[in-house]
Amino acid sequence: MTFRTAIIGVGKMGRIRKRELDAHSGFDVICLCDRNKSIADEFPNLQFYTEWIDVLNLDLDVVIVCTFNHIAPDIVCAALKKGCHVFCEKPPGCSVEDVERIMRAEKAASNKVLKFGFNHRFHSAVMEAKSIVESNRYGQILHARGVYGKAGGLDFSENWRSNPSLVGGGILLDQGIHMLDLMQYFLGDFNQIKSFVENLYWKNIALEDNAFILMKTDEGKVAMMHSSATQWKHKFLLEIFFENGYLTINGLLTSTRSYGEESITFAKKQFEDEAQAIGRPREETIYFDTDNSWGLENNEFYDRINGKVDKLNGNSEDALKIMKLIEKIYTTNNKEEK
Amino acid sequence: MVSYEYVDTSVDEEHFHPGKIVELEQKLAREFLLKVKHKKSIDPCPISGASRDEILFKKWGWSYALSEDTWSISLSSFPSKEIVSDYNKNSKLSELRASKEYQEIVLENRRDIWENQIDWIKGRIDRYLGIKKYQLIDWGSRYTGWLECLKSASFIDDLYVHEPLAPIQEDILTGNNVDVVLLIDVLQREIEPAELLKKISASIKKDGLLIIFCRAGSGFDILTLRENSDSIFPLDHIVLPSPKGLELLLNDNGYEILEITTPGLLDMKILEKQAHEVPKDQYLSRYILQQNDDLLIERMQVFLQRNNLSSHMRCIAKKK
Repeated sequence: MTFRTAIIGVGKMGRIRKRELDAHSGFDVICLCDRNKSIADEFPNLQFYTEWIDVLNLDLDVVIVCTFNHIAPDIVCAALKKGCHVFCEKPPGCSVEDVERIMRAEKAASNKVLKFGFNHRFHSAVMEAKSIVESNRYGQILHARGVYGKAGGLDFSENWRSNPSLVGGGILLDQGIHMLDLMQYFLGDFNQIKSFVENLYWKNIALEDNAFILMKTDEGKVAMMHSSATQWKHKFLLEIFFENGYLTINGLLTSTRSYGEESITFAKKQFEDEAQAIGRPREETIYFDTDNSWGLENNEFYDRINGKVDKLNGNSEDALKIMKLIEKIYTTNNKEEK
Repeated sequence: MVSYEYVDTSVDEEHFHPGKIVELEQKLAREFLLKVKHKKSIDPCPISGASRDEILFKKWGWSYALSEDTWSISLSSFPSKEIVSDYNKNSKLSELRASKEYQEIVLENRRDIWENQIDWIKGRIDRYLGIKKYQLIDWGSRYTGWLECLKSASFIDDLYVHEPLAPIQEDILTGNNVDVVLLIDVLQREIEPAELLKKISASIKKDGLLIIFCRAGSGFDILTLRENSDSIFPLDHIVLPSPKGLELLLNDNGYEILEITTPGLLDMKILEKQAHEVPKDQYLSRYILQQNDDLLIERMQVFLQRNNLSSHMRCIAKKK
């Protein structure tokens, strides 16, 4: 079955999504929409609109939303109401309220699939990590550490990402959301939060350029995370420590390779009786040279629409949880927990 | 595709080829091979079918030819099935290998390695098939200790043995439509590797896994030492595919490759052990060995692992 598909928002993410949808035989992209009219010239064979509302008058099965955060919830709700399946880039709006509004629209549009773009779950190293966690080979998770950071860049202050009215949050909502999602994915829901949400370098923007977070689940699992726009050398690092071993995801494959090679290192805990030197266990590292995350994410969306899979990563429950967590991090910023 | 880096300083060549038996194995293999008559012509590559004209080395009267299209190597002229069968079932060498003493020495040396390998296999099965129990065939088993380790593995529901060598007995029950087939150091001793892969394919369910461990002819220690490789026995190593050769073989016979890697630990240790036998024209290897620098050796081994240049190859393939 092939779904007639429209992409609303043809910036960097919209183009990546188009490339991946074109590679999937189940989606037929018939229409693009962007406020920038000149983009139409690049795609002469496709219908092109500048107003998203006009797109929804077409006969469509699927709508892909890759717009600024502030407008995404309106488009998602309208597309669901029109009877379309919807895939929306992260973040799922600007606030918890946005997600709750989307969820009401989802409920009203029965049997329509709604998925948000959390493609990091489909990175090879993350899938390896999930397999290790689920196999219980190293026992229960004790704690985790994560760093996800990038260099803001020359136009960071003027960029749409730094415009509060368009996005609703800084580096944490923009990029850190992926690391937070992975931490909840592996450790469960965090209910105790301590945080510092800071403007350490770009003092002239209203949104944070760094967030330092300490979180704890009800089961006592603790996670530390740093989301940064002043990571002058891009970095992705996620370490998970278990009762009997550990794993480290280092690097993340992207188009520019600026986060380095993607790898996962894992090992069983070994004390003096097993290892030649304590603290130097026999460890294994797998390196990956292909990023299939976008395609795998599409596959899951397609299979869910066709009822071939029950599970959906990045569903509205996931979106609500992550936005509640982010809101809590912002509100607990630099405060003593009561 | 993926590549591996695996650091384990506790494993050395002695675990695989303990001095107290390897010399006797070499003597018996050599005696058998020198007695057998075989063609001197060069057969096409058993993997790609390409014609070959470059003899890489000769060992005990048998020549290995290089197939430059994939950089796989194999015996230049293939022995008959009867010769191979005789070697594996009726020779003094096969008698030694089937003996209780031999099997006990191997178990003593490899138990930890086998347990780690089974843990690795479980991890890969978890990754590609999910977390549950599976039906599995160990194809071509030759070690009782290995089978004992497999039998105690938590992820195996039913374990079958197909085409084993003595002292392992073929099961009366044969596994069909199983989830996983293990082919551990077996492919290299086959005269018709493509036929074996087709036969195995008939026993695996669709999307089931074939897990292969095999010596790679493109591996660093083999290409460096060539005829001086103590661990290469012509009828135990008839075909030595490169990663590219194995990929071709599997693609042509109904499998989709999930990963081919060379996480070997021993190439550099083998060279260290046989330093005096490294050919004079292998200047880089001689230079590295002469530095007497353990860290350099370890980093070089990691480089070989990462770049699929080690002679220990592992592959996970899915039946299409």
